[in-house]
Amino acid sequence: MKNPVTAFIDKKLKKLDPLWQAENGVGGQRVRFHDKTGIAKYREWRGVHDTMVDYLAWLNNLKSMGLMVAMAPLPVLKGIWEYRWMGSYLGTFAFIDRLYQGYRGPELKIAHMHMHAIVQSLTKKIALVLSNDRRLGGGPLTDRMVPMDEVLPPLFMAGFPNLIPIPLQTLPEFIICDIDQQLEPFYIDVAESFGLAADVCSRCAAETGVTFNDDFPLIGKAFLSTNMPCNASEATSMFQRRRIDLPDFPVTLAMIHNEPGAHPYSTQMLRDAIKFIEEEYGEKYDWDALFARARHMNEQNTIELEKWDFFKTDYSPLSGISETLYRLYGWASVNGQEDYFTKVDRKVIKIMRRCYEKKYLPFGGKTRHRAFLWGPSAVYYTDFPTWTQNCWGITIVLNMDSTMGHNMISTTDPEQAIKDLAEFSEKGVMRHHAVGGWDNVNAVWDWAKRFNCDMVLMNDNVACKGMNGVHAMMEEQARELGFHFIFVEHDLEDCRTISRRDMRNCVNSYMSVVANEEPLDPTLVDFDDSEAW
Amino acid sequence: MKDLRHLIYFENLLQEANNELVSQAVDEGKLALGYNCYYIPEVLLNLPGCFSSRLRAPRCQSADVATYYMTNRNCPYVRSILERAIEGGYNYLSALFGAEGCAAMERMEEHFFLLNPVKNDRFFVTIIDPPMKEDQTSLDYYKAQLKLKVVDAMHEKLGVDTSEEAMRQAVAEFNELCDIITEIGNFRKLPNPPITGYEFHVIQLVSQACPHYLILPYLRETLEEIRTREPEPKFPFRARIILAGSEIDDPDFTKLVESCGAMVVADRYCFGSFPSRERIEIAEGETAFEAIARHYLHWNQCARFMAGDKIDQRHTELKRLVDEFQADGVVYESMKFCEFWSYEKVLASHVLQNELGVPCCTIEKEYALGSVGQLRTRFQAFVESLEIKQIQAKEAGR
Repeated sequence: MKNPVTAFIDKKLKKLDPLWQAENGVGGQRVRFHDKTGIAKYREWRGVHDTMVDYLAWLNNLKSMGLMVAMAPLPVLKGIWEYRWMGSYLGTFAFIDRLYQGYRGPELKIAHMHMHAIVQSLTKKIALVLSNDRRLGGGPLTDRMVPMDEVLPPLFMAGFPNLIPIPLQTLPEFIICDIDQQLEPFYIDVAESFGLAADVCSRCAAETGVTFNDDFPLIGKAFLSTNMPCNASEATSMFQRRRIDLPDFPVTLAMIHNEPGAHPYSTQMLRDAIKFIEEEYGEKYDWDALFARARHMNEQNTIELEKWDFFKTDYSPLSGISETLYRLYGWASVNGQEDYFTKVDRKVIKIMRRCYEKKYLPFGGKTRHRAFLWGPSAVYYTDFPTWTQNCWGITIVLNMDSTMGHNMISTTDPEQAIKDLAEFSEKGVMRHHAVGGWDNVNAVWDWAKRFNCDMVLMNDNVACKGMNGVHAMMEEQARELGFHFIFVEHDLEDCRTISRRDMRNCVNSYMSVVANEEPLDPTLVDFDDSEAW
Repeated sequence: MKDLRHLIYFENLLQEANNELVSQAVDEGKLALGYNCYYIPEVLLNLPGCFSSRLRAPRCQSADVATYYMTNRNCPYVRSILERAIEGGYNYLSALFGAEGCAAMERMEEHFFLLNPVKNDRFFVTIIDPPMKEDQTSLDYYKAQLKLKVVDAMHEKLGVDTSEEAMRQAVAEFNELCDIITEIGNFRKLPNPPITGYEFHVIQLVSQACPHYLILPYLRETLEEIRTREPEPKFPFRARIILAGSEIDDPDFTKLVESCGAMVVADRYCFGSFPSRERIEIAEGETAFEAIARHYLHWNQCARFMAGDKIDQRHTELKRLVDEFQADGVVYESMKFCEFWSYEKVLASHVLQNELGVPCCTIEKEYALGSVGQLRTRFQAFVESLEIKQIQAKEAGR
């Protein structure tokens, strides 16, 4: 029950709430921002309770960032001096604020629990990596670290408890591009200045630019690269291995991974990778150590599957970017290796159960469409799902990448465990459904039906040759099956080619012309945020 | 030089995928088996009763329908192939053996079963998942994929004899073809070759686009002719270059390069003879199938290989060709929208120029040779730069 005092204040101050303003035609979310930027004139008023929740979460994240600096003051300072990407982390707070605009009640609470899990993990990782980065002088753990490709799930490395797997591209590229849309174009330009074609995937072009610019931290004694998820990603590894100049082992898992013949090959490839690490680092693989972490991953995946049951209903306070970003980081980067994420999952599922019991309708019950987001998303517009929710009432129920490896890993039998890990790893980020054959892409309709979606938003990465190759087939399928279907063009990490505004216009055009609907918040329909982080 | 007797005939054969010899072979009851990529061993598609047909879309001027399906942001080669299929240009095929060599290729091959453009009741498609390394694990996977999706599919769906004896026969016939093409190609090593790069390109292409048993007699005759052919009194080109990179199946592209003054002395690209015309040697205790898989994985120089030894092989092999064919430089090309070769082009040009001392010019091309003005300017400038280097080298030697 609501506190009468806060209820009274909320009533008095309701005109400050952008949701109320939009509903009453006197403003909305965009009004509090300076034109062209992501800089807000004032914080969002969400009512007493939710504003406090939001502000305390802000303080909590500030604490984590402070701890990061306190843990490694000199390396962090050197890192800011050495690496262009370090400066972009200053945009983290603005990033979090824009992700959760319009969030209230349990959806806000869960979102911040999720985000803090990421922030506390990432800040520790930054401090750890910079403290042991050879470019910055190295540290005691430098040779115990194992740099590995960010899209190679690191869970199997838990069998080396004395080693620290570090997804190499995560800090300079994979995460930071979500925070600052202006960063990666610089690295893309660096890569193109060396002759790389401008039509390759911008994510991989950016990775190549980071490589050329010597902006990867130098850690470890050997490098694990991978063929995941796709062609350009494979190709960019060629440069990374040369520039990093460490012995490397490409963990090339099956591309067509939905066939029985694929798994024995991928299993053997993981065995080969383990052998490579044993030889390079002089460590013995410890299955019990793996089992301990696999139990965490299994629990997280068990909870994830329960969450999916709630996603199928109208009463899930978890959706959109809050769901996507946490699952992406928790699966791809943490991958069962941090207890904190299991604890967060346990808390979140309790909230979700309660919400379901109470038939709680999130986002003020204003959801008009339930959408499945398919295809790799534009990372320079992480808050796109928040915008679809606030502007048009389109809830992103689930994102393609959230369906990544959710099979259970054996925690007793090494033979079975490595087979399970192979299947688990084959279905990695941007890979489970984006590559490996038509059936994987075409699965979207089953997923959408299963989650009671009436709409599919198809992320149309203009440089993704694989997804471009099924363009018309997808459109024809959507027509045949009667889904609302919108291609949302984007250029993954290059906001100059297709801006956030252009992406919004893809949805605006469909919603106004085809669906003939009115926006929930007219201030969000068309605005310029080209200069924002 | 006197014109090669069969050159015009060969050129005419390249005007259609379903050319005169292909039609003849189909009429004789042979099974036409299509493929796009070196990962599919050509020799396997030439088992008794079958013949290989590496898919081309000659004279493709627009790929509008395929562009609708695959967008205009995708590889023009795959769009042209799909367009030609939709036009009915491959109705002679009994099967397409695809390889997930790249995403665009795989998607194009998928449209062969999604749209059913090939009007042939027997027609089917399989797509292998080719490995990206040459280690034992990758070789085992490659063998398993070829066995399941090529050999067993041919046997079970088309009734092809895939026995050891049949494979050894196919290898022997294939080796004869390779020997002829290699001998013809080796004339390009001479200071004043009795063959041009364009002529060789035509000969190499007909060997891939026509049934081997029907084209072999012509190739034998051509070899004999070249053995005694009088070259021009003086080497007619200003430089010798190697053409390297992604897919080129239009000999007019080689003609364009040569019209700018550079003879193409070696062809290291998809559809070229490096790799594709190396003899298959069956080692002691090895089955023919094992030898084929080992051979194709070893010689494959696709830009998708990720292991260090295979990446290095691409560059050392090119350097070997530069030395053996006395090339002055390399033109490295990539098809527009080709991810792999776009990356490899950047790396290779760096390695060639800065580490191996080989001049290199990189270009990007469309599938159909349309407006070539810019390319011509690039090639002319490259030839001039090679000439300047030759002059400087001579002066330095004095």
